[in-house]
Order: sequence, then C-alpha cells, then structure tokens
Amino acid sequence: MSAVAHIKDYKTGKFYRDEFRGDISWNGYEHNNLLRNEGPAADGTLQFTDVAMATGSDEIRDSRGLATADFDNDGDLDIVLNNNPGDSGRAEQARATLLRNNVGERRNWLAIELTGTKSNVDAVGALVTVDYGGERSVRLVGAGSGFASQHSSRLYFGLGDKTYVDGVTVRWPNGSVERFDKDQNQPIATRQLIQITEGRGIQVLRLPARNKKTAGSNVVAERGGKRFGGFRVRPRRSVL
Amino acid sequence: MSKRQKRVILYSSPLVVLLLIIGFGKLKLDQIESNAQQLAQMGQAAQKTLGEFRTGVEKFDVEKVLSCYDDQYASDREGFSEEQLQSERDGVRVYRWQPTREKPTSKPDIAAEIGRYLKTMSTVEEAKLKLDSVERIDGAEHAVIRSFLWLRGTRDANGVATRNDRARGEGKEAFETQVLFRMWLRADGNAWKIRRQEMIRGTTVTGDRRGFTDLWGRSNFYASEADGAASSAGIDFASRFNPNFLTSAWKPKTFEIIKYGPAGVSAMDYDDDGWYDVFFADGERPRLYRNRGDGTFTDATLDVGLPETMPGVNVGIFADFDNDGYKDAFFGCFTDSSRLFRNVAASPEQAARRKFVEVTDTSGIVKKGDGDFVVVASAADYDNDGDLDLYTGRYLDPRRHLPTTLFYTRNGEGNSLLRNDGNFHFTDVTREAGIDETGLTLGVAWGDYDSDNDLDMYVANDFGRDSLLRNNGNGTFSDVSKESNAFDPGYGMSSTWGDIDNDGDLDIYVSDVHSGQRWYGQAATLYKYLLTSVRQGTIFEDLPVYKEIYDHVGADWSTYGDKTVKGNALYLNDGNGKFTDVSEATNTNPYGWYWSSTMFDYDNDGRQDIYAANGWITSKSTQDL
Repeated sequence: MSAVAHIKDYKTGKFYRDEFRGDISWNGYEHNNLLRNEGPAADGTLQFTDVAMATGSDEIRDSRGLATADFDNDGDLDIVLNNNPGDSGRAEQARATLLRNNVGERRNWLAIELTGTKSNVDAVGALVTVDYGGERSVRLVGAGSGFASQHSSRLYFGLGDKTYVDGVTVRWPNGSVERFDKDQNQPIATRQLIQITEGRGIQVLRLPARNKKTAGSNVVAERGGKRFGGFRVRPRRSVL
Repeated sequence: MSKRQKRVILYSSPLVVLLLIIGFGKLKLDQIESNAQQLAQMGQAAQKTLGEFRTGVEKFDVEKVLSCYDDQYASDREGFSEEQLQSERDGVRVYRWQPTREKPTSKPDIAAEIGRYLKTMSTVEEAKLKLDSVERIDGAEHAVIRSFLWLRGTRDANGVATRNDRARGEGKEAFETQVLFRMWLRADGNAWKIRRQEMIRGTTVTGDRRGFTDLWGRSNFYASEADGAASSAGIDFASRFNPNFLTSAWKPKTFEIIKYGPAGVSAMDYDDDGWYDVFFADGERPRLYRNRGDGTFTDATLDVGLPETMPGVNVGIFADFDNDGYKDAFFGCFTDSSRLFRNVAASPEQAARRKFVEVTDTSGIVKKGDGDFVVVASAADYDNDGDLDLYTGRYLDPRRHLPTTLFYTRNGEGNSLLRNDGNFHFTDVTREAGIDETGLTLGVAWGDYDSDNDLDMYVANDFGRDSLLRNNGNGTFSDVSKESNAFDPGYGMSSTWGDIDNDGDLDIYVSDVHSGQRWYGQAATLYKYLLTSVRQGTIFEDLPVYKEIYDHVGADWSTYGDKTVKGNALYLNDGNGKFTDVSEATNTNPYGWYWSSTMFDYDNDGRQDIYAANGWITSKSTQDL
C-alpha cells in the first residue's frame, strides 16, 4: 500500500479501522525487551544489552501493563504482565504472564519497607539511598507508573557480592532526611528486610517464608517478621 | 487588545511560520510533493530488497542474499564482522560485533562472508531486516539507508556449527543477533542493490533462556517442572475487550482501534501479610489474586468485596488514602465512572482479613460526561500535607475525536489532579493547580527530579507530546518540558522515574513507538502532511497545534518527524534540572511498539535494568502493516 495515501486519508480515521488492517498484524508478534544495564563504557556512556531472549523473558504476547514484585519472597523481583487479546482469535493470546526471576537471588540484596508518620503512611515519593562498598543505589517509592501499572512499594536493592551496607538514607516526601550508618558491632546485613518508620528508626524483619502448611487452604498467614533482640540502629542525623 | 485581535494574532502567527517553512524553506510546493513521493517510493523499494535479503537468510540461500548486492560492490571495510565476547554471566553471553580487518571488499568477498556466516547458524527461528531510516537520497539512482538486522535461532555452542553438528542437533544454544548497518544503495532497474555497506553496531547474545521461568502450566510458583495446570501458580486471568466498545451506544466509529488498548496490572500487598498480591484490570472483568504465601495465588475478587465485573476499568491504584496502614483502591474507568474503595477489616474478629467497601458516591469523584475516559492514574502527596492525592490521565473520546495530527495532539479529555481532603473525599483542583494537560495520556508518574522536596510529574501522551510538570511548591505546576529538555514528541505510552546511572537523581524512561515506518517519518513526509492539510483546509483547525510545535522547536522542523518515531527515550538528569535523551547512544530505543516499561534491577547487580512491554495488535496473519 502506498504510504503517501495515508496522509490524504488521515482525517477520515480510515487508518484506525479494523477493515483497513484486515487480517494483517500491526507490530504484533513482537517480543518484550529486557535491557540489561552493563554500566558505563570507557567514555562514560551507559551501555545496555537486550537479554530478553537469553533470559527467557521475551514474552511475545501483546503486553500492556507490567508490574514487578517479589512474589516468592526470595529477594529478587518477578514480573507479571497483562496481555491484550489482540485480533488473532487465539484464546492463549489473552492470558496473563507470570515470570519467575531465577537470577537475582544468586546475588545479595536488601529489601526496605518505609512507613511514614508525618509523611503519608505508604511513604510514596520517598527516596532511599543505599551505600555499599563504595557504590550507591537510589530507589523511589511510587504508587502508579508505566502504563496503568503499579509496582512493589517494598524497595529492593541489588548489592552484588557485598555482605553488608555502609549506610541507608531516607529522604521522606516532605524533604526531611534520616540517615542510618553502619555500626561496627551491628552492621546492616544483606538478604533481609528492614522496615524504617519515620522518626522511629530501623526494625529488622525477615521476609515471610513460604508457608507449606497452608497449601490448599485459605488460612491467612501472620506477618513473619519480628524485632531482633537488642538490635537497634538509631538515626545518626535527623532533621525531623 | 480585544479578544478578537488576540485570536487573530494567535492564529495568524503560526500560519506565518508555516508559510516560512513551506514557502521560504528553500522548498517549492512541487518539490515537497516530489520529495515525499521519492522518499515513499525509494523506501518501499528498499524494503523489498531488504525483504529478499531476509528471506535468503531464513532459507540459508546464499544466492538469494547475494542477489541483493550490486555487481560493482566495493567497500573499504567488510560488511560483516567478527563477534568478540564481551561478558559472560548468569547463563548469558554477550558478543559485540567488531570489524575484522579493514581491506577493500568486492562482491566475491561478500559471497564468501555470507556463506561463512550462514554456516554458523543451525536454525533461524525469526528474522527481520528493517529499513531504519533513509539518510540521503542522491537523485534517482543513489541512496544511503540504515537497516537493522534482527535474527534469532540456534547455533553450535562454540559459534561454529558444521553440517554434521546440525544433523545431530546437539550442542546447540539459542542466539539473538541485532545489527545496525549503513547501506549505500544503487537503483538497478526496478530494484535497489547494495553497493557498499558498513556495520554501525552489532550485538549477539546467547543464553540458556532460564533467567526467568514463564509459570504457565505450573500449579505452584516454586514448581521446577510444568504439571499441566491451566494457570500460572493459580493466576488464570485472561483479558477481554471492554464490552461497551462493541455496543451501539459506545462503539467508537471514529477511533475504533481504542479497543486494543487495555489494560493494567498492579502489584500490592492489600492484606499486609508480607506476600505481594496482583490486580489485573481489563475492559470487563478485573480480578484480584491473593498470594497465599505457599506458592499459589487464588482469585479473591469476590471474597474481598469487589464486583464480579467492572466494565471499562483500565487501571487499579492501591494506596493508603486514609493512612490506616492498609491500601485502599482507586479504579480508573474509561466508559463509566471511576471508582473508589476503602480497605477495611473483613469483620471485627478478623482484622487481618481485609475487604473493600465502595465509597465512590461520597468521594467527590465524578465522571466526565457519559464516561470518564481514564486510562492511567498515580497517587502521591503533591501538597505535602501527609495524605495521598491522585492524578488521573485521560485519553480522547473515541466516538467523537481522532488524534489531531500524527505528531502533536492535544484533543484529549483532559487530566485531573484530585486533592485528598481526608475522609475519602477528593476535590478536583486541576484548574487551581494550573494544569492544562489535554494530551492523549497513557503514562503518569510522580518523582522529585529537581530535589526541591515536592513531587513533579512526567506525563506520557500518545500521538505526541509528553509533558514534564514541575511542582512549584505552592499547589501549582508549570510545564517545563521545553527548558528542561525533556520535551518528547513521540507516541508516549508509559513513563517511569528511577536513578538508572546511580548518580543520586531521578532519570526518566518513556515508552514510545519505534515502528517499522521510522524511515518514513522524515521532513519530506511532514512537509507533505502540512501541504496536504493546507489543501484539505484542515490546517485551520490544526493551527493551535502547529503554533505549539513552533513554540517548542522553532521553525526548523527537519528532524521533528524523526523524533516522533525514534522510539523509547531515556532522559538522564544532569542534577541541575536538565535532561539529555541518551536512548540512541545507550541502545535503549529498541524496535517495536511499547507499552508499560520500568526500571528494576532484575539481577541484583546494583544497576537498574529496563523491562519494556512490546506489541500492538497480533492478528491472524504474521504479516505486518
């Protein structure tokens, strides 16, 4: 078909009708991408590699919404996708996709949940910075982003092979800052969940572990975390 | 100055600009016609050549591939290159393509190279060779294009497979190759032949495809093997069309394609048991699946008091609007009212068991006309008063409107900022906040990009253009898209904030469309569009749009068309409130038609990666428009 004809017909809306397309796809049969951040090249430019096929995350359905969360509490973020039925008439195109992450759990991580007291309880808008071994990572708490999507509000920090973090800084939505530094006797260890309550310090929790007993039943599991005896990290510098 | 005089000036200024562009931009009207014609014909002919090339590769047919090359082929550098291993981790090997040696190359050399290259592959599962862009057209005979080769299949694990290896079908690994070429083409009768070529950049990735497991067919999240379940660990959701779009009252004749839009998904822990649950919105029957903590999910929609159907709901946002420690729910709806639900204890005895109770009627949230046209939403405390407010993004009314133009559209139903007054009541403060966002919104995200302790907003709009709204800290917002250099004229489909370069400030990733027609979105086409709209008289209704483009980019529109179709954008924050789109340099604008995308560190190496959902309409035929 002549592309030039589209211009003339644009205002008729012909372009957007099913009859115009017929049985032909329109950017259908395309795979999702996973662009792995390889860090900066020698000239400082960030480098990315599409590893979707190589990691098996190259969903071919017409995905729309996308959410990441640690559904199995193993320390890495899994993916769930909502896919549009499309126009192929094949029922399997419409099913949602749940992708289990088998990679992240191999490295160390720290999960952080925030609870606001002066700020909103969900701490939406808070920025958390984790310093570890000379590296720094920042995560933002959100409640709605992407296309019609919402991700885990529990934040995950990948730490590679580091076994503890040097400091955690929270910038609450209203701008007040709390910093928690590593204590030589009580370093903030990795592979755990910590909960920071605005103005009230850190509490160490475990990620709830798989409850095999409830399999097949509807029992509501109790929150698995508890305060560890004697562990306390006080805010070092608080401008609350 | 009278209102009328103001209007005359408003409408005449862009007309003057257009006249300058069209009349004095060294382009005569007939030239505009012929340039556009030439580009279209040349591009289509080039696509035909690339199609032959692709078929040749798919069929391991050296002769067919070779037929795409000019007999006079001559290049200083080899067109094909050697793969060099860059990294190997997590079962993934990454090779960069490097020119092997610089030496003059002729057609027999190319034949040998292609023969060698095809032998490295055991099977080709999928192959594409796309026309990326037309860099130059020199008369009727010569042109320079960029083409993109995308191949996936299997090959010998060492990269060199013999015929015997292939016969045995052993020692294979999956590979995917993506290479960008520059090709000098020469017209040869009806066809274009490759006269010279150069590799711009190329990557081959191989892997065990086990980094992620698609859990379909497994009854448990932890299952190591498929057991034939008709779900993914209990998630058996299948999305449907909004039934309203198929009824006579709502059937959108004008913008029929809207029906392929939905829908969203949310991950949240609604019952605060430490296990993340999932909510799916589609056009008809949204579902909430509770994570039971034993590796399975169960459909809890009715258990938690949500309706069996909610036609038109496109997005669910779970946020604690009353600060009681449990997430309430806002459901954005297209063809009916949006809805608000409060999260309460299921009974006094069972505080840990939660249910949702609808509070829409007393919430002050009212629909816009006979529908609400809401597609996306995001909660945040924009006024720092300690409770979560809401921003809702709307599309256009598909029964009445088409996107104004293909490259800048402002005839959406208008977004809303809803201020939380407490007690589940919201007030629409859009006007007071100075927000006039009428793009066809598909992405909204809050983030404090300028570190001034209030949340700003990035709005991704379909059919161009996106907006960065700076929070002024006094309840008002300013559109700073232009001065911050975050002005994106692409087909915005999704927006997200995150620190992708670990420098402490928030960067932006936006999904756009990088379609197979990028080559066509060039100045010649844009000028032709403008000329056509002058001839059709539609220019007058579109003048406000053209004025806005002029306000943003000035009178030079030569690269504007390309920017609308160049695909996803990664805007790096320089820490001083300015952004740079580095998507081309960082290879983060892949080919495709993108929807939701996000930054997340899937491999826990400390650097945020990007996952981007791709695909528009899969139909019966694999042939693409």
